[in-house]
Amino acid sequence: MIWAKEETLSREEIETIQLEKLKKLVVRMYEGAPYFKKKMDDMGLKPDCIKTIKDIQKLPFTTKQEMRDNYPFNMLMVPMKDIVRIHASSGTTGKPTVVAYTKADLDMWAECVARLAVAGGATKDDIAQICFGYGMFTGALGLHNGLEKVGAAIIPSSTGNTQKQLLYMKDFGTTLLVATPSYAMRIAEVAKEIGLNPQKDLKLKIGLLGSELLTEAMRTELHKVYGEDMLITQNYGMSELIGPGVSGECEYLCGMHVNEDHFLIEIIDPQTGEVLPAGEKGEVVITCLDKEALPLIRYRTRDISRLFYGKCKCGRTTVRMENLSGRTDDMLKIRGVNVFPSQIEEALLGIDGIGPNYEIVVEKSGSSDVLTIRVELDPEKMQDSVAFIANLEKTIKDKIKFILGLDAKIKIENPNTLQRFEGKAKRVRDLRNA
Amino acid sequence: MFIKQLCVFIENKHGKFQEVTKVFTEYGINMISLSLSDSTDYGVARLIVSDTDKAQKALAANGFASVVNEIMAVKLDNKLGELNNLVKQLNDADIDVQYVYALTSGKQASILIKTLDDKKAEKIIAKNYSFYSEDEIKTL
Repeated sequence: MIWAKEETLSREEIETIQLEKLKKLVVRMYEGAPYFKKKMDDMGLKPDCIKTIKDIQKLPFTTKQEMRDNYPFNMLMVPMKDIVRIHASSGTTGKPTVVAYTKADLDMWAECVARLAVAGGATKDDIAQICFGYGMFTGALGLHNGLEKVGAAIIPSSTGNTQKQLLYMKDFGTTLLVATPSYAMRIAEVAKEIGLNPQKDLKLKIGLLGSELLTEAMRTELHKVYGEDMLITQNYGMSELIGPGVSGECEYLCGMHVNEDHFLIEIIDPQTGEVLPAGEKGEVVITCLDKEALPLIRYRTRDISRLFYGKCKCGRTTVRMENLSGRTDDMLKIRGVNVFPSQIEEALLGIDGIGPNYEIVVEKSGSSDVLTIRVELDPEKMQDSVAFIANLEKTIKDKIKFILGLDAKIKIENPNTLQRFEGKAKRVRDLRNA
Repeated sequence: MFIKQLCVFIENKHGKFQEVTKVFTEYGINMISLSLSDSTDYGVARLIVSDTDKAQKALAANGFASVVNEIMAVKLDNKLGELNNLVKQLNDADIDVQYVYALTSGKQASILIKTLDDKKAEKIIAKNYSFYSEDEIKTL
């Protein structure tokens, strides 16, 4: 099912809407956002420079640093009396970035989430359990309002107390799970510990996962525990832009459909800032076309992806963004090699004999970096000799070497040794500057 | 005849082995025989215990991966050349020994033995020796 007619417009129709909104936005921001006017003036640009949709490439970028510099409310384009909601990012690397919404912004947000929820299989018949942390984080309330708009019955169970989560899931007949991929895996693990079989004892048939990267390897692992029939999709967004709702996968799992009438997406070369041709990989840049409280022009997300414009089998015509190869923020430089934690995850999850949890530790030894990967032994694959463990260690080491070209120390540990996560998993410990 | 052997994965970390012995003490599990094989970072403890199923559950509850398999417990006399005789018979039949560990008490110097062809080995050993049964070994 397709939620909105805006998801099936022709390219020409989409670009007409985008151009109209962009023209208005640039005028509005030039007049009302001093930080934006200054950048335009410095570049010798006036709002009337926007004649075609391609002219967006003339406009200056917006960065996360600007949002921090304008903490908390300096970037807002409406007075506080018109604001009805305030959210903030976790701010683990500095001051949190604050986002605020007008009533119209909340409606648009719910509309965008409704579209991706429906693309991921949601209907009004679903019983949706939201296992995202409610609070300042945009994920929980974003999915909450979107699924409510679809008409699903919502269980706002938040995170934590996984056994209680499973009780609701079983007794209330939850059909749709909202969680991070790592928490979805944790829920299955706890189910097993308390003697529940997720495929027989639960009614889950849809997983709307987000807030951290879902690798294909992790999707395969999740299908192993929840069954092949469960439709597991991921969706994309970030608090600065709106929260979840920018894009999401449909049942064909061939990239995330972007809500282009609200978000104009470009891919740039992160070094030069040049826009790259369709199909090329680069940094995702997004313009929020019609947010009232906090519109952003050409926001640099630091996420790496590429775009596909071909028509999807689902009938949607909106551009699809490839599942992220990683966030530039997450990238590790180890002995001169660029490493995305997702590459390590892809390598590990196919290996028989270890569980789905892992930790990447990078340390300094003299002048060299040491990469250690901690994994847990799958108790069901245990054998009676040390040779088996040594072989397993070698298999992992060889696969990492093949994928990254790096030697890693592999530490195989007992089950349940590594930390478990209910929200975004923290799988990397970089101790080099500690 | 085969009896149950419990194999436990143990990381080579300070205090890890005592965690295992502590679990056994707390759950009232007696160790009848033990052999440890190890590499730099890992070890596998092979054990004959008074209640294998209970021991495995107790270990799982305390975060240890383990597996139960079958092994022969061969009764041997405590005299010179006894083990040599047994192993020679296996060698003559082209059966390789995977591992052996001792179950010595008083006049007996019995062993636990795992070969690469246990079925065939069992037949050969049974000609000249007797095995401990599961019940019998628990009385040791």
